[in-house]
Amino acid sequence: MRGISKQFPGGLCANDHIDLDIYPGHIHALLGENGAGKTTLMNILSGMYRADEGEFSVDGHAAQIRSPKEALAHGIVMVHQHFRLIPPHTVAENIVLGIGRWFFSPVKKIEKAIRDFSAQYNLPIHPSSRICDLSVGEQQRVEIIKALIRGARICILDEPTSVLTPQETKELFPILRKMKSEGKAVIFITHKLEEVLEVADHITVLRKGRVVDSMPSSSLEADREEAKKQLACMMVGKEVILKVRREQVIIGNEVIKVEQLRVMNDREIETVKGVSFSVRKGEIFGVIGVAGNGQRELVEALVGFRSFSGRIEKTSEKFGYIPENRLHMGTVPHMSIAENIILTCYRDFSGPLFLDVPLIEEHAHRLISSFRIVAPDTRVLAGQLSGGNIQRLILARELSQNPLFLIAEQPTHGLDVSSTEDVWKALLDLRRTAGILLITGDLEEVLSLSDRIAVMFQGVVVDVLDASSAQQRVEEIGLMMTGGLKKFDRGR
Amino acid sequence: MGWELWVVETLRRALAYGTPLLLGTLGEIYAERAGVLNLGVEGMMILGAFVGFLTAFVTGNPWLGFLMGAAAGGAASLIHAFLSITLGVIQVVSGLALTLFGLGLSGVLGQGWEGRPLKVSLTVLSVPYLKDIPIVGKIVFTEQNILVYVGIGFALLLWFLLFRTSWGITIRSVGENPATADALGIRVSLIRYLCVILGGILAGMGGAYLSIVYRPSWTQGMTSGMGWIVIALTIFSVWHPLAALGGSYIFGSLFYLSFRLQPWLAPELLTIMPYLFTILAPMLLSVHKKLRRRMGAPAALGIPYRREEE
Repeated sequence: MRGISKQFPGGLCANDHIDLDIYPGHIHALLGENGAGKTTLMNILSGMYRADEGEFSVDGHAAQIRSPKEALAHGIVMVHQHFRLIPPHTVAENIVLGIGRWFFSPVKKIEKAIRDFSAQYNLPIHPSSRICDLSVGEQQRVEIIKALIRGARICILDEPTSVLTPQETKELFPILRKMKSEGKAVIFITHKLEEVLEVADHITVLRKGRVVDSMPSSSLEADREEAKKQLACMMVGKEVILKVRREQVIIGNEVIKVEQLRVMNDREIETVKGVSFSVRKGEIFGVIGVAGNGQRELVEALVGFRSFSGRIEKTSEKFGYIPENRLHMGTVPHMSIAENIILTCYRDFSGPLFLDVPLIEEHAHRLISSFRIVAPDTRVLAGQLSGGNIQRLILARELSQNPLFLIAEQPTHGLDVSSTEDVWKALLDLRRTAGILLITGDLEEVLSLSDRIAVMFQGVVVDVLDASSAQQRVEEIGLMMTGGLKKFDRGR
Repeated sequence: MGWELWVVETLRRALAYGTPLLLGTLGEIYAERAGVLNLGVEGMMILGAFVGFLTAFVTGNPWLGFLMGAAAGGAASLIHAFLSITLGVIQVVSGLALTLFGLGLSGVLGQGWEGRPLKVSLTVLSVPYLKDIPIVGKIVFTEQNILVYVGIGFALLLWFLLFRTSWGITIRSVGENPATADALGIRVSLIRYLCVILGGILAGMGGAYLSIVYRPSWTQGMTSGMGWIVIALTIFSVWHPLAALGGSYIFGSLFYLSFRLQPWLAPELLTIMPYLFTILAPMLLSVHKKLRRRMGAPAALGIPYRREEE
């Protein structure tokens, strides 16, 4: 791939002139934080997205990849993080779907091929099992065989271990090595340093849409810990230049205290493993981590969506929440701005039977102007607003209720610069009168806004730092986020 | 001795009564397996009934009547297909609209044709040799009209197609997870169109059966709710053509019994039965967790598919 660039509407530059070389019989790791552009790049390679600029060449010849079918013609197949399988169907039915070779009894005919590949690559799988009865690890193997049977020469795996148990992860690597020895090229997208060093032959690090560096893994430091530091440094950079000033605020009482919180996800796997922290009025407590390390389950437990064990003590039951899913959880897309603005406090705007419409309108107008929501009038539907404006709407609603405690979950994810600034400003304003729990994957954001920073990796708070020392230790934070460091080593 | 004969006769009639149900259900199974809920069965059936009757009356050829009835059903189903697949309208609404449309249109067109008896009909025959098989012979192969065998034939053929061929896997996948099928290069809209049209053709044929074979004449609204029973049957047969065979004959026998048992039982009691069965069957199935996932409705049923753009 040469010079691949892609911009999304809204100005987000996901890929910026990226070059990438893939060789057969190699395992190539694509490393980077959330939003670095890894998945976008691979989506382009596998034909799901089209690049704005750039070109491909396959086996030395120029090639076009404009659709998954064309990608497949070149032997490029992607195994997504969320499997594309049909649960009530059997393994064989899933694998044979779309293969037009046989009309009669396709299932029987493909069973032999499945068994052959299964034996060759050491991927034990029964063709007649139903997907819904298989474990996640087994489902992943089905996806891999599906790719191999279709003649994949380049197999892209998107965060393959994010859905696996540690045991299943251990079982995956020999499979990747076998694929490598059979001459396949394996690209795997990840943010976990341990895995990269374990299995990759070649590593490309992306940051903010650009290639930071690309090197064979042999060229890294021999000592694993040193190698991890090198990589983390590439992933998050040496320093972050902050554009925001935090004013001094008197710290008040605790607004929330969490003790030994344990939460299970939908698959009954523990994803929050004994987390404890507290947030006080007047501070922003930032939890930094790559998405998928338990943050979502943590927030769901705090908000009341998920059962947990451990203790959560809130000073008051009322708190503000800015969810990650702006459109469907934070707002009702089919309702107007005015309706969304009173969504969680409508009782303050109604009499015994009816809503006080003039009052609501006045309130909505006031908030629209003070939070700079761009909309012609209050009747615009929330779903018609841009991401930044939806977020301003949610902020307006939550902040106008003067909460003592606010949870902000990935508040600037996917937002343009101006909206991001507005969000930051609003949070810093609120900080004077409330305690804020900020969950984010954006290092710049957490360093700019937080008074204290907790780094979360695989369900555990690796360490908690003060903002003042955090600025100097960006590399260490990067390491902790990616599993390279178990605890902030104050000695160094 | 009396009750034995009685059972045999009931079953024999059940095949005849159940055939229009079977045809309609097979069609609806295909539409729903592809993910499209078509509540317009009643409308398609009655249009098929009228067009079939009219054609048979005018041409004197019952087979031509079936052909045209099937075509009428298929054409009507195109409306629903366009609305729900291409335009992505709420499928319940467009299906109901089709039903009302079919009932109304057939009523309007049928004025003046009411009560005129159809002189030609399908021959009733008994299959030599096979009719002598004890019990089964008396039920299946004695004095049945040809369409009963056509119905059974279709059931077997459509079962084979759905479960033993690549087309079947494609159809079922489109109804379970159209995004996955789309990602593999399958043309979801085309498959859905074809299945809905097939459903219309079979419904039209089932309707034509009513006006040509069952009661060779035309009466406004003569399907009398059969289309709704088809929809219930689709669920009751767990979207499986072979179960539809059994189910439609069970329902067919209930139909027959509701007449036969009139001296002793209010007919309404037995006409409730099909719907009662349809409520009970999924309830019983859902008790077993694994069965539930395997035998439930196609996961994408009723949900218009739109490819998620970047």
